[in-house]
Amino acid sequence: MIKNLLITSIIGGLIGLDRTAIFQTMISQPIVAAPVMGLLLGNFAYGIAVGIVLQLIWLPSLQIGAAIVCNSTLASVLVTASTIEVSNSLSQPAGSFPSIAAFSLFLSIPLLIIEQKMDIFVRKINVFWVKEAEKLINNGKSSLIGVMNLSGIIFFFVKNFIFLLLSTIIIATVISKSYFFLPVNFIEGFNLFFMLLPLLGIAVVLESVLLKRNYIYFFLGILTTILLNLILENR
Amino acid sequence: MDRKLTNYDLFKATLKSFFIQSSWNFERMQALGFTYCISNAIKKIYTDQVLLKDSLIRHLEFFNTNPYLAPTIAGVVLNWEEKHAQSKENSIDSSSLKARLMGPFGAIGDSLFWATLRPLTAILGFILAFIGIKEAPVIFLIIYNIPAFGVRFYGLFKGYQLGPFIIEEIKKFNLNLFMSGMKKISCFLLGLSLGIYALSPDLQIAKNSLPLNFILCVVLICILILLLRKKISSVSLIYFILIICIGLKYI
Repeated sequence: MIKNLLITSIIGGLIGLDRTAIFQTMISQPIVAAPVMGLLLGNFAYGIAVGIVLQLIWLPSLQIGAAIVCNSTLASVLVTASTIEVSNSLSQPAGSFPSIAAFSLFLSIPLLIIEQKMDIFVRKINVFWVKEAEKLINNGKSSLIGVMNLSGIIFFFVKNFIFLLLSTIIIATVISKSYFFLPVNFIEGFNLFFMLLPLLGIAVVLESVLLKRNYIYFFLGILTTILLNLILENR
Repeated sequence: MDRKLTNYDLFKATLKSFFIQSSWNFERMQALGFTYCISNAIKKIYTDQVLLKDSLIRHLEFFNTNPYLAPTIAGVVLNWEEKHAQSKENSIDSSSLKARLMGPFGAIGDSLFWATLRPLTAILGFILAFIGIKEAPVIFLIIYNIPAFGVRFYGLFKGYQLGPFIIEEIKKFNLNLFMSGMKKISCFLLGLSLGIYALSPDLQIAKNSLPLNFILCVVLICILILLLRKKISSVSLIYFILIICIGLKYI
């Protein structure tokens, strides 16, 4: 449990840096972050399923300039880690995965809103490094600019680490303690909800890219799958 | 004009540009990251310590643009600083040049990478993962990062070579046409995604009836798009869908 929590918080925290602080290579996208966490925690299949479900939902939310959007990276790390952790501790059959993951996502969202506030706080205090760099340059120590700039990563990482550590503990504990008391209808509702989430993702992205002149391409895509399906069925 | 910077200096500056947002903050945004990116090259350009200090302090002023196109601006700035160090003819200092470039470059980069390339590659990754290809995350990363890395390196080298004339070079690419084409492909891929999802035997909303399931998915997509166009956030929709799902199981 403690080992998994540390893996989640450290590796998840490092993956989260790709979002803003370093690289921007998109390892922070759910389709990558969730399977990586799944692989590290011993269940790649759960990771990739969470990645598929969460990938498109927050895709059009752009982290541009001063805009702070819902952190889909930490969401996918959190949902993957807590789902695997709970599944291991409850020794549930594989079929209960969607309901546990859906329950985890349901609990994650309020915490992600708190994370947005934490992110805003980090972005406010990070100006400290600029002021320090200014002083150092004025004192002729310009070789330390790099240290000052890279120190900004520390604040981003600490924020990710603390958030993931606390939220994984909270979510895993709440699900472990309450899952068996959930009515069957709730569990089935969670299963259906998890199944429908990719549809919400498709709708969200579609809404952001679909222009009237592009309808034809969208319908062409649907038609292609229908034709492919018919061909494959008749083989 | 004598070139003071070698290809290795430019290469190092590009590598440093991967950390341009490390100390991102609301007050100066990418200012320190940008200064860090060009700091070694600037030290080679200015041998006079006073000029070096002035230049570095000047670059700590507010700066923000798209991280993939920031190296291009860094290249242009290095070109300009080099000219500035050799002759005092330049009427515009590099700070105003940066201020003039960061807005348009930010807009181009954001629409090209965040609003076009990322959705396209992510939808592709989604489809590949959905049909069971385990390497989908790796394929997504490769497809996205080839242009992302390319633009960073090409931008800095070309920016340094051409200076402010890089804008003419960018115009030649006809990016609007390119982005419009990529959006068409994204729409096609979204159609594919919906088709694959709706026809997936594992995900049947309406049990045992593929056509009914397909129609149901299309109807649901239309409802969701309508709700999104009413400015309902995706977070609210997540809870809305959850309530409906649990409610349905009680009916």
